[in-house]
Amino acid sequence: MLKVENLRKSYGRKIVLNGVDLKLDTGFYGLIGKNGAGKTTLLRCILGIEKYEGSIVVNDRPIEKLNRYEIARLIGYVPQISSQDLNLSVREFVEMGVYFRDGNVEEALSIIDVPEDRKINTLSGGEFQKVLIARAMAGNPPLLLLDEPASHLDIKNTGEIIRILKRYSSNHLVLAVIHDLYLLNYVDKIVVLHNGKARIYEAVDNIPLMEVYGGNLKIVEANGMRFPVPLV
Amino acid sequence: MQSNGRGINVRIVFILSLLFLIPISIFFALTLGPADISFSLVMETLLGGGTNLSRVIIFDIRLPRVLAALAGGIALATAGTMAQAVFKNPLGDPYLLGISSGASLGAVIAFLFHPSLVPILAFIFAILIAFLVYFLGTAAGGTPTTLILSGIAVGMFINAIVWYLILSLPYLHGVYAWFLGSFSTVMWDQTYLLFITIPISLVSLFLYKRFNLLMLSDDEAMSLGLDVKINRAITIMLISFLTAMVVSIAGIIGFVGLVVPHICRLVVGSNHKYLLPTSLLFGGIFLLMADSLARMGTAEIPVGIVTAIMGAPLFAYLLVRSHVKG
Repeated sequence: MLKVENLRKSYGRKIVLNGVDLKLDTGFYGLIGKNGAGKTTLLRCILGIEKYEGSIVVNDRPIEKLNRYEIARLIGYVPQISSQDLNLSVREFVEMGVYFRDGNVEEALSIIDVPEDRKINTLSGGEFQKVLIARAMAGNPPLLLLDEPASHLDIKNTGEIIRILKRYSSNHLVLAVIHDLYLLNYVDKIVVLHNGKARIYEAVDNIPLMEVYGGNLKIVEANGMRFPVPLV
Repeated sequence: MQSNGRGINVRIVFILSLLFLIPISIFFALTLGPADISFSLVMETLLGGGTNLSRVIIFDIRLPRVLAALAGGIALATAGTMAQAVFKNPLGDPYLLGISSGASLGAVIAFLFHPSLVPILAFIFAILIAFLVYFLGTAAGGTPTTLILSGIAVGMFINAIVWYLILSLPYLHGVYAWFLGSFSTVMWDQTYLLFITIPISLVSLFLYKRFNLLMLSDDEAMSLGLDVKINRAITIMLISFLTAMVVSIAGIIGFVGLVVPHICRLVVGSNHKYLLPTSLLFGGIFLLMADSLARMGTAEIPVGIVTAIMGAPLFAYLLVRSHVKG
């Protein structure tokens, strides 16, 4: 579904991605790495927004050969920051998701519990995040990319967003940059970006977290879940 | 769902009210002028009667001016609405972004050679300045404030050049009143030229999805299927064309593109599906009324001064608010 081969990207002399290879199928994947590891850059390359060397193929279609309409049909994107100060209703905002691709606004609105006539500039951070996800899902793209979808959210909204993403990942590929490592308990597999390369792990205990993040930490276990915590 | 329906009703009522106000404003504006022509005589003349004098005054002097102000307002409000989307900036206005000044420099240079070159050179200079301001503002950080500051800086620089040309070349003394923004000398030929902007403004109504996406970050807009670079370039060209046509005929008229979309946004929201048609209609009425106000005193004042008096306080308010919001 998503096949990345020898992906290289640098900004001037700074090499960010140094030969990333990835092959991901349907499921919920968490993308982690320390600050500046290139997580957002990787998403932007997959979206065809950044120029890159190497190959990125989604559903057998090479991204570099597609125009914006075609990429939008294949990939949904939830950015880390969006403009929330617009005087638009939730419905109008979600409708943007199907301007240039086929989709189903009603279905997208039905998966979130935010009333469609609320103005987006009155929503809480959690509500707005759900609306952004609904807009990305409205086109029913086979690949959904999210840049820290649960940052700065309370526990209730985080849970709802994870539930929405897990459901979508049952027959789509969901790749989400994850900042809070406890959320890795909910993903199927973990993509670790380190030193410009990517590696896939089945579970959090196998990841050399101290090497990846360069800090002292330990993993606390409770109720069958694992919580990486920093040692201070 | 119920309140969504109510939202649509407010929009429809607003659009219908504006459509209703257009003929009323035209009629009102036709009654104004140094020659004392009563309401009933204006009505009679419009219906095919009237005196020889009233027919000349209404059809040859007042009507071209009134329709030019209406078309100019439509063009400037449409340009302002598009500018606010493409510059992602509630302060976007062809005047504040320096585009009007660019057009005026082109127009003044054209006056030196041949008046028929005015619209073309105004358009070319408007585009050049629009892109210059865009790249300067982006290089300076790309925030709403840096974009407007670069627009104001470039605009002031160009205005200084235009003033220098007007004051130092005796041949250009006659364009002094034009530079301040005025429809006082507009005749049918110029009104027809300004009518070219109306189909362009109407075409923009069908591009509302693109303007909605341009309000978002570039990454978001691209991820939703928009080729941002091409659409931004086309939009800047449309804004430059509309502005250049108005500047060619009536000089620099500021703040219409700022005030009108802002007021309409309060009523119908940011969705360009509704914002563009309401701004377009309200822009025509706004400039027609401003031009009428300009004519109501003992001595006529340039309409650009009237719109500045009406628009500058709102601009100051929006500037402070955007700063507070960071």
